[in-house]
Amino acid sequence: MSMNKATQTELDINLYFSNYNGSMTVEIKNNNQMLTKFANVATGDYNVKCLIDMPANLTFTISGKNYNSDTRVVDQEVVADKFVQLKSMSLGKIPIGVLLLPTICRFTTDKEEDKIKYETYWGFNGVVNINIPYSNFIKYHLSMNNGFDRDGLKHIDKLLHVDYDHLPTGNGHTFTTN
Amino acid sequence: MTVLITSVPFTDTAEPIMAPAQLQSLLQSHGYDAVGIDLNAWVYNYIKQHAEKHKLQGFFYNQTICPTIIDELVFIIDHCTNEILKYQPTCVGLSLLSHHSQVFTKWLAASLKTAEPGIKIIIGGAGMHNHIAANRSFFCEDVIKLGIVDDYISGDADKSIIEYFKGNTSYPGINTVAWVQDSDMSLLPMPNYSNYNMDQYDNKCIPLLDSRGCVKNCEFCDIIEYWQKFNFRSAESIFNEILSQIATYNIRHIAFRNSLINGNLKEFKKLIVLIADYNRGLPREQQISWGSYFIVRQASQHPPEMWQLLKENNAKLYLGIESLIERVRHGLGKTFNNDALTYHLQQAQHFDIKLLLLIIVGYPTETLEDYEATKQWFRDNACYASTVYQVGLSLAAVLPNTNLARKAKEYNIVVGALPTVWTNKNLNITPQQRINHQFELEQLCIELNYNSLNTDGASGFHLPQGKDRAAANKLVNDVTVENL
Repeated sequence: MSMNKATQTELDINLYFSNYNGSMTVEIKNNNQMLTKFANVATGDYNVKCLIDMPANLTFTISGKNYNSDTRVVDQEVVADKFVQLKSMSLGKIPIGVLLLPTICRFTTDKEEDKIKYETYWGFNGVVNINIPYSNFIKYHLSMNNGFDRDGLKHIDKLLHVDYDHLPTGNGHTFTTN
Repeated sequence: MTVLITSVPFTDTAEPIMAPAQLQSLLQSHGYDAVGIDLNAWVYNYIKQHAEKHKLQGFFYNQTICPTIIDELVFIIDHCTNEILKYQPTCVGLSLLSHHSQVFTKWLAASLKTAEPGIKIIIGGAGMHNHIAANRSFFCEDVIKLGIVDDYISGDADKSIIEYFKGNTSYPGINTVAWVQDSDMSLLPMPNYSNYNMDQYDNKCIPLLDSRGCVKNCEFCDIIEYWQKFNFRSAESIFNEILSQIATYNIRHIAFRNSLINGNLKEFKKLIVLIADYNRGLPREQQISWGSYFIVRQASQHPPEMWQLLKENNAKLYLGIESLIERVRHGLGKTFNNDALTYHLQQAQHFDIKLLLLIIVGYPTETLEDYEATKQWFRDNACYASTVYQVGLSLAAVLPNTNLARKAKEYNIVVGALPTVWTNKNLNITPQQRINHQFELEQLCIELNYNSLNTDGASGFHLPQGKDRAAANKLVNDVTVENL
């Protein structure tokens, strides 16, 4: 049995794919090493659990969004959208707090305006970067003032369980959540 | 399989924590390879002189993370992880003495699971619950859901931990809050402190379990809800353990772990005779001494001959007085009268036996007149200040699942968000007033020389002072009476 010198740490993330004219494509890498790729997936939750090298530089390369057709707007309201959402993330089994999570997601989009965003709702093509500049995951959490707080995720869950590709027909406003 | 049991910081004590040593010997007696260590002692020593002590304690108590202590926290967590893993355990038992161990349990368990993903982690101890008599453990549910702890064991683990390792996980107390008090204390092997560095403790002593539960039925108390039966060991069994531990560790001060040592008066009298006989003729440094909780009884049950024996035992007594107002004290379940209390003070003074008085500030049936009478009692009895080496003052709390909580309606008590935040609508003394009373009483005791500067702490568990007390004050202030 080894002593506590491990620089590999368990990463556990949950992504929600919302499809409208198909799904986003997401390539996930750590330090330029491919972890996994999602393409043409069905609407729903997808879990990624793996060991990653630390320090870590996670990148989520997001593509597949056609800005002309993959968002449906009715009366200036978005009623259907193709996007992917980072719903939760744990490092070393310690969840990143729900309020903290968007602040660590640096989203560089391919849009001219709003090029840099910090959010977990990824509805544009671009690259999301999560930088973890420590070899010790405990130090990362402490430095972020993060400690086992998962509260609030339930609220997000409720908002996001929407399958826009299988909405009730006729009225864009009448989709249901579960 | 190697099982490692450790205490989990933070308990503010300069004494050894017994449970890991007890469980080590218990597991070994059933053929398991087991180690018991006291990580709390290392952390206690590490931070006691630390320039950022209060910030570090803030982390342990409330998970307050100040940027200036992050590297220290990483060091402490890494050190504790490595201390555990150097024994190469396949299973780690984290023993939580109080709920102040909960914060560090999470960080330590996460660190262990990352360092050794295959390691099994179980937790136990009264500290798993926010209140000892709680009927649900959100903490246990949470850490299991997070995947940093595999199982938990409630209550005395004398039988359940053995059943756990046999694979009988349906035994009462395993992953359930409810447990069965079914063990025979006389069958317990004595704690094995071989993996403790006894030199590291400022208060050198051997903890010894002599009884569980209580013979009284005080309405505020949750101990009697946790241990519903009073179990005790025979005087001979206790004395033999004392002799054996002295022979092994050459430490002669015994820290009894109990709610009271004189619950069974017959066995208690036998024990103090055995110890007095042992001590007679020996120089003081070779004599046995001890400290323990002790209930006040009527004078006839504690005659002067007993006090003479207590002196020869080098005994230090912690008395749960609770209220200095006889009416209030009788009402809450302590039936001794003021004459008995005075008698105990007189005898202790006469035989030079040091006392700790434990007082509840602002009991729900205490009026403002009672509070003034309490202050006057301290003034009137200042002649005993040198005998009372410390007065332990604690805010009255309505703890869940106690008789007091069940009587809340009868007393017209409205309970707030915390056990110490309540109002008796008949009396209308606010939580803030009670906090003020506590400060005033502390100050009065100091002025009257009741509190010595000796910080060895009667039972080893220090009362919150300074910033800790201020933090407690703020906590209560944050939950105002308007929230009731």
